[in-house]
Amino acid sequence: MAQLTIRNLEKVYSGTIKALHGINLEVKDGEFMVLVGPSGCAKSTTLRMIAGLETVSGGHIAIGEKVVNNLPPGDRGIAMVFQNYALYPHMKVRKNLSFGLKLAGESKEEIAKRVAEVAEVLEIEPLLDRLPKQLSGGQAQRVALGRALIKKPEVFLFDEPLSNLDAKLRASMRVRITDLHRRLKEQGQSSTVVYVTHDQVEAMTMGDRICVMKDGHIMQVDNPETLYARPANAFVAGFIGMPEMNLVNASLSRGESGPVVTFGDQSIQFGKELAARLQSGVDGDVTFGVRPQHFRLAQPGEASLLAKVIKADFLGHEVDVHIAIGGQRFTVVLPVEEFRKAAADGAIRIRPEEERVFIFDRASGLNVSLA
Amino acid sequence: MSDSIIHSDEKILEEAEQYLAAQKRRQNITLVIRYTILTVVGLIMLYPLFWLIGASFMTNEEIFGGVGFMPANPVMDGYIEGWQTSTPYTFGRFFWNTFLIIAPKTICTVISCTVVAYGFARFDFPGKKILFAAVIGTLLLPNVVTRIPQYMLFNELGWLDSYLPLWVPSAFAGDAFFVFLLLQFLRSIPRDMEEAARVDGANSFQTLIYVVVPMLVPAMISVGLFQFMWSMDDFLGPLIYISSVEKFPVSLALKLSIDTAESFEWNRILAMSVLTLLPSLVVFFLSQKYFVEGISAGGVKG
Repeated sequence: MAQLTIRNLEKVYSGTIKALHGINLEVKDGEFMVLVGPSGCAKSTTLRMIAGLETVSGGHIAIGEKVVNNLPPGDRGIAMVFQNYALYPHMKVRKNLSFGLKLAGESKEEIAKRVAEVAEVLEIEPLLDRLPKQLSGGQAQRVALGRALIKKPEVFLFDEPLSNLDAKLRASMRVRITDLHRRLKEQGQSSTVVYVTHDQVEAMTMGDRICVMKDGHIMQVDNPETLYARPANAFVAGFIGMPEMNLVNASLSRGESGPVVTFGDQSIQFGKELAARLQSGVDGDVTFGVRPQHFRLAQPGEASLLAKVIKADFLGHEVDVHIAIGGQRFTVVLPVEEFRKAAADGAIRIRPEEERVFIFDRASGLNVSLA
Repeated sequence: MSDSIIHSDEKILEEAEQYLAAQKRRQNITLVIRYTILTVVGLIMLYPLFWLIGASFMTNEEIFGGVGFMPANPVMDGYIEGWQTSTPYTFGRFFWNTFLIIAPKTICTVISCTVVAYGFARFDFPGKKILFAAVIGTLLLPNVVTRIPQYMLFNELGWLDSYLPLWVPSAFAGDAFFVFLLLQFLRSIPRDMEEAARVDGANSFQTLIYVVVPMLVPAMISVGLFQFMWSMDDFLGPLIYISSVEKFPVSLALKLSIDTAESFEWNRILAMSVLTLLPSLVVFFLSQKYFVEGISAGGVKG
């Protein structure tokens, strides 16, 4: 079993600077866990602590049943793929792949067999006798992947492995890595993955579950659908999803037929759906959140907001419209034709879809519309 | 109409060609001036060396007969007689002695300085800052200051008139300059590879041997080369610690031939000087490529 358990994990630099504030995380056997967050959120630090490249200041890390806090990286049953590939520049690809096995004292036959297996899986057989400097970025990353794979580790660690590749290659490597993970899982091999990235597209497309981090805290751990549909707080709501969710200051009051949200001089009345979701006692200053995709042009006579169009970015079949409502800026995504018809005079009437609207507590940022 | 356009086109082309030709001429002139200056300065700087080599094939009379460096009738007397020396030993013995000093000194320097630089560059340990300051501090200390205490120390140890005082300090990274040079080079090498090695199961020592050293080779060659050349040139060290003629390195042996001969046989001295220069020159040219790479401290491309 290669379950990874992190309990109250802390990292303190130079005695005073706390980078990681006692996080708890459980990665199940065979699970693909993505750690995602902006720069400086300590996601890489967490990964490096799991790898044993950083010391643990508090709490513990266990792989399977074994606490690995004080084990050297080589004894933890992990393999790591680095952002800069970190291939040994003076060794040919074959030797790069086999270095770990050689140190572990594997027999020559076993090493040759494993190298051949991995080379076949990753299609790097023609590269085996090349030096790393003779490889392209994509090839080098495949070799780096091979170096991890060949060890048959219990846990795979990826530290932003695709960020040095161009967009096209990144997309194909993404598929390759998830394929590989699925295949390992089907073969019953250890395939627990912790994958660090700052790219939410990578996180959403690759992860079984995603752990969103900020400033050394975990903001939410969940599968991609839940993160998108039910963000626990305003940070997660803003971080996940493209274009970013609109998060604006608003004031909330409870009318008789449902909650009323006011932005500056405009208000909109919502119905029972939102009323049922809202936590009791929520009133006054709140953060109102709705994704750009979850607006629609209002029907005549329907409760709606009058929006001034500031700028429209045409993206082919849809258009990103930047609008202002009651002094607040929003982005909405609308079908091109509908927008053209509606926006003749530089203003549109729109309405957020009630069931996709979120209310966040202004101070704590917590989502108070999840019940 | 169209005629005039063609005409003016031709004119423009002609002017352009003239301009380009003038530009080329200017470039050629500056090139000639530049190379002339470089050649003259180069020759002036190399003249003593040419003269040394030329004079070593002259007779004593011819040496003082003029400033030219081409021998009229080249003779090998200087080499043949110089090699025999005025002592019971040939010059070959002194070369061998030099080798006995330089080989352990160079090898020990490269190994010890690499280990120490690796320690300073990659590990945190208590007192690191103070220790590093001490190492760098010795760079600023004039050699002469430590001569007497060192002499007394080696005297106590009974190492006088042996080669130990000449190379043992190097075996403990006594040359701060080399530690510094390697350290700077190491700092330019990303740590990723070493971390990958640790994840692959290598301990610190294996990481050093299998991963760091191969990347550090150019710098290590520079260190070896510097140490080789400086030790070859070293006169004061052997002069202080070596007293028996049979243990003299070439630097002392050259001086010996000036001391003992009643009238100096200059052509012998010059001939042996040429031979003394040879090892440094050969080693330098053989390893020039690495040497330049090493001192320019380029490191590895990410």
